[in-house]
Amino acid sequence: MDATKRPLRIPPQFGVYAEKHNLFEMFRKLIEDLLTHKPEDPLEFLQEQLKRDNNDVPAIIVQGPTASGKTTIAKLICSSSRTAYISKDTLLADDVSSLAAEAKQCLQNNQPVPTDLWVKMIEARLKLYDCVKKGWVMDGFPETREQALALQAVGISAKHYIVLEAPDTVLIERQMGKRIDPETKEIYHTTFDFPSNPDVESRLVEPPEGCSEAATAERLMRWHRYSAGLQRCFEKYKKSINADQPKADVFAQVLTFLKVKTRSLAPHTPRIILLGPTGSGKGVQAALLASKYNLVNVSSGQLVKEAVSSQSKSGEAMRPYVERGMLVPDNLMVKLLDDRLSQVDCTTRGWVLRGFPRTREQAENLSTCGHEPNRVFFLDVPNDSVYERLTLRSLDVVTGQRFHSLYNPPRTVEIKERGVQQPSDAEEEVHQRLSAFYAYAEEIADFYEDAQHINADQDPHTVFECVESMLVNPTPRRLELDD
Amino acid sequence: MDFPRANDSKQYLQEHKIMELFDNLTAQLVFHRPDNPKAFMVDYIQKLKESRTAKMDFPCIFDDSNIASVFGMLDPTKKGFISLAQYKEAMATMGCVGFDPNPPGAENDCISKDTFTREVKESLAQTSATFRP
Repeated sequence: MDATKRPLRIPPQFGVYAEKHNLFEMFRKLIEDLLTHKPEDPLEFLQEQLKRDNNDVPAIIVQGPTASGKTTIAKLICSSSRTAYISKDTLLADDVSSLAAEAKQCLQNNQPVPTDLWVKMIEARLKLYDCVKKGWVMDGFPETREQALALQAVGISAKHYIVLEAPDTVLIERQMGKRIDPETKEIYHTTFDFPSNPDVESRLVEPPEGCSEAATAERLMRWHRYSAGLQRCFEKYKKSINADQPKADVFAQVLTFLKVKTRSLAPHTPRIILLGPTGSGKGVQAALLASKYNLVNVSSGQLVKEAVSSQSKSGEAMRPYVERGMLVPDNLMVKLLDDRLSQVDCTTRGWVLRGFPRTREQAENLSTCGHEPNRVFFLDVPNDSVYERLTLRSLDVVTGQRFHSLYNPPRTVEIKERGVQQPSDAEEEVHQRLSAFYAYAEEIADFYEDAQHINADQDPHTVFECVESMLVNPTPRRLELDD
Repeated sequence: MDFPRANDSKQYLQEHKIMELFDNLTAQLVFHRPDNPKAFMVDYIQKLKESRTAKMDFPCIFDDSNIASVFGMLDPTKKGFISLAQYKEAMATMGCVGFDPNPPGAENDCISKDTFTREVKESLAQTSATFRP
């Protein structure tokens, strides 16, 4: 055969590598930036972008009607994640910028500030070092769809868009009690959030926008007029949060949302490890996953049995251990799995592995072979349920039918009496397997930091839905927060 | 329907050979698998910028010894010639575009090593020069 006619194949390690470094998203972002800015010299521009190294910084817009607490929440996010805070007030307060002076001139003449002026101010602000390095939170801007589209046209878009919502009556009542400390610009409330310091209390004033019912209603009308169009600009990364709750609860929900990564179109081959005690349903879940997502179902026990019965070289090496009921040594086991997981079907379709690793060392060895899982699930189930699931099973020796005295009891007393238990289902055996698992569970959990825990003490299909939801969505990211 | 902004973008990508640049970057990453891909890409672009000024030594994953060994594989009996079909296939495999479809010696179905090396180098330089000419 002509040597040049062989099919070209990308090395399987590259898939793992690209996923680890998020290459797909990085390329997408770079090309997106190139197209929005269309620089004269793309090479120079790409170098600049790559040197910035700020793919993970937050870019958040907090929106909501008047008195929904958007400023409070935005400032909380800023102080906990050390990002820059941007609002109309802070933009106008810039004394140096000529743009801000122009905008103030507009406001003095009682004219609205034109959209393009706002956009220019924001663009200038976002170029500053703190926004580039640490990210930004924008509070209360854009106010209309037009402004949002103008921002998007110059390539400014949020990664998270938070809308705080509350019934109008609640908001009007809140606005009536709103008080501001003129010195620190902190916001207080006459009933819900009264200052503890009497000095602060004495200098509280009503907010400049007024807190009468009519004025608030006017501003709410304005919000309702523009909000639907505005929210359509940010459909993909929008989250509505009920603002009629205590501040801490709203903030907790906001943080949960900020942990969500946007879904990417990057090609994704699932490499799953299921961990759990005996009887937690690893086998069932693996079979379900394998049939729905066309994955290769790899069970370590099965592999050992196959190797032994095929009388291969490695199988013969394992035979003495298997015959004496001992665990196969780590190096043989890892070799066996490495061979299986390196085959073409595993690298192209993805795999789901169970029964391995049992110790942290095995997990480390597996990763050094290049088989890094991208999802690890712990199926958590209490010991009582495991005993209930396993020890009550019996087998009818005449018909070969299997029964479970709670979930699937034998129909007659006669059948019940001739049922026998599998030796491995005996209580001591189960106890032994359970303690073997829990002896190492903690150190494995330490190794797989991104592992996700699932309550497996439920119906198999409920558990499966849980697993699926964590499989198809990106794993949540860790936030670096100050308390 | 005509989308002016979409057409502008397409034209921009073509003009500056952005997609080719990213193809080459991917090839480099597949081959080297560096620990810090960003720094690696910055280096690559730096090399490309230098070669743009110097108009030579474009960064490429194939060097002279690779070209020689490809020729060696196609010519295992050391005749010193390969056929036109082999020449075309080799060019396609190495990702060369814009090579001469009828190089000297094509009429006799004999392409010499020198011709092959020269054509490969020329077209690799062309594919690696991913910026506006």
